[in-house]
Amino acid sequence: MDAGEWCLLESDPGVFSALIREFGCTGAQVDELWSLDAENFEPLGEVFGLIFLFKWDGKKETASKGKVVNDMEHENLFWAQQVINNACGTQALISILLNIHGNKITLGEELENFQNFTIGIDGESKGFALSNAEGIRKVHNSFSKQQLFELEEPKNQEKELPYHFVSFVPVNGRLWELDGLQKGPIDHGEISCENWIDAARPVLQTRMAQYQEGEVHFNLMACCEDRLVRLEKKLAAETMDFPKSQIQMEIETEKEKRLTWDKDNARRKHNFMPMVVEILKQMAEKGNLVSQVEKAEERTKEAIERRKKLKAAKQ
Amino acid sequence: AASPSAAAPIDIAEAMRSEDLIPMLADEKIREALMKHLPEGNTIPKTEAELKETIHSPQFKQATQAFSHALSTGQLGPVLKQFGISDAACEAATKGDVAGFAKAMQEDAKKNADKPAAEDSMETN
Repeated sequence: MDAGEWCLLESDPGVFSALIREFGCTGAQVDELWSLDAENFEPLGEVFGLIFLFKWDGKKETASKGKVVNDMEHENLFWAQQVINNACGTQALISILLNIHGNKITLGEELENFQNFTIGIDGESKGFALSNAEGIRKVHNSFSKQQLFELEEPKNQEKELPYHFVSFVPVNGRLWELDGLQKGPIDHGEISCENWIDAARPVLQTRMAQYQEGEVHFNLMACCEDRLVRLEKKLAAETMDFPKSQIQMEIETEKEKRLTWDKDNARRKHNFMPMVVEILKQMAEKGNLVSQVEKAEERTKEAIERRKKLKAAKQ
Repeated sequence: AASPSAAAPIDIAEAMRSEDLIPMLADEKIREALMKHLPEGNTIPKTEAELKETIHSPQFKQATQAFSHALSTGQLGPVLKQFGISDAACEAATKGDVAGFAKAMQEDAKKNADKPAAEDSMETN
């Protein structure tokens, strides 16, 4: 990958949580949200921001009902214009992390330097600063879909529309939508309820309904406080046996989830070329490589037929 | 646009589905050979269970698909030489001839297997 290029990022909570960690930031993680129901937010503890991801139709206009404002008029609000397409996952995540105020997380040197560098400059300049942030890009690119070596992208990937990530955060008592494709942050008004999620819910519900109608794929993730830290604290404060064992179980579940994430990430970063070649060599030695490839040919034909039928059915 | 490989593309990733690979792991020699190529580090221990999990993983599937694309577009030819693949197989790979590549690889394997027992093979003419 050329210097200056950003890879496409998988929208996976394990990837985003690892990004946070590898930026050197502590106190936050990312989890998938299956719905906007209050019970889904409960295990998350404090939610710092939401990442909304949808298939981008290539249009710059937003479907948002909020008001685009001038970011320079809002102190403490970090918003960056999107200068590079593929960086938008990292941009959405950093837009949340840099909008968490009150020492709830530790940004770490990399993000602190970036934050200090971007104080007082406008959103467009912030976007350029991010595109040039070497350390951030390095971490981002380490999650590139593992490449065997420098390959042309498969053609069907080129045709696929990219995903776009936007974030929602509460800052200065107002709900903000941070979309790097707009001219500024989007103001969704004052948060009048105690929990900002209750203010964000109707906004997101409206958006989701729109996308559902248009059959646009979307997905929602939450950036929240580090669950292990929260559970350990809770465990230390608990004196009764039964709640204690409950919390311990939750801790085990979280640890298992993180191990799965780590394994997925190790595989994402691994070069599988030697293994694939070894598999083919072993098949050749067993004398069934040719028959396997014939089977593959049959399967390829069947897949093409299926796609044709599907296409015909859609028209 | 009339080359035979373009007319009948073969997706070699379809030859490496997990349901095809898992039974192969019953052979200890194959298991050992593949386990060596699991990601380095302690996150994924080099065990049979982890090998199976990796073969079932979407990341591995993606790798076979990238390999398949590269092979059928002829990009892999020069790269495969580094893996001790014969000239004949590499030549087929350079043309994007997946079936030819498989045939050449299998013939090479057969030749190698016959070598130690050359005396009672058909080569003694």
